[in-house]
Amino acid sequence: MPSVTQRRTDDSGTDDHAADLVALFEAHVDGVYTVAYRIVWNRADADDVAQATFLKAFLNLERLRDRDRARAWLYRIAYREAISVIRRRRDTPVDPADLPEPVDIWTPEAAVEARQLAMALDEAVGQLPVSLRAAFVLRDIEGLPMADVAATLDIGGSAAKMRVHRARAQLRTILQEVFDDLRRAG
Amino acid sequence: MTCDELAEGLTDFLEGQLSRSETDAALAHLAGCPNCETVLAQTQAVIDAGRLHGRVRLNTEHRAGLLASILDGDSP
Repeated sequence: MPSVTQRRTDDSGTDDHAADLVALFEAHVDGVYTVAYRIVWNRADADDVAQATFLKAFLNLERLRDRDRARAWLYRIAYREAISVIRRRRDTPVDPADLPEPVDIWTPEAAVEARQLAMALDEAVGQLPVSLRAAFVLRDIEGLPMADVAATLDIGGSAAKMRVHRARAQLRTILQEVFDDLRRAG
Repeated sequence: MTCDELAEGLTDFLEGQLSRSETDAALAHLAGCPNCETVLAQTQAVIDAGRLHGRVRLNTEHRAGLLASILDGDSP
């Protein structure tokens, strides 16, 4: 199978696309991976989603007219790939021991409270329905404007705002005990 | 503004989407309602937690492996 750079070179006759892909990857891989992982909630599927996202993006790079829109464009692809994975997963039972597989994002010096809150958030986000999880990830983790959240989820602005609202409310309820602990410790 | 009205408009409040008069009414309600003040503070804490701790940061090895797979054109 030809490599993605070979396919691009064959299509365009130029060989500078590998540099384009690497630049796109380096600039956005953490964000794309976050969208993928937070939605599919395990590392193996997140790897597949991130890989498929960048492959599709690179093979369709000419559709990205405004490079300033690359982030929202990539997140939209990643969201669709993640939803496809979840739909496939429904048809294929997964060994519960494989889920969730945490991603090691910790530095040894991370403050105990920050670590406690972040670990609780990991669990809490995973408990949300996928539709609310995606809205929270896009708006509050990745900081997309609400209009881009709506476009990524392919819903209207009011519906996007409602999903973000519900996600925050559910997370507040789930994290209530952690907030109380931190307040008492505090 | 009532507690229910504030709860309904909380996202608009946090997103700065309320009108000036609605914002003033929300602030006036919050000043006299400890319960709503707690809800607001905890909602803001959820948002802050997402922004501070939600992003996954791949280590160097993971990044390199992923990029290599993409450049090789491996289909997941």
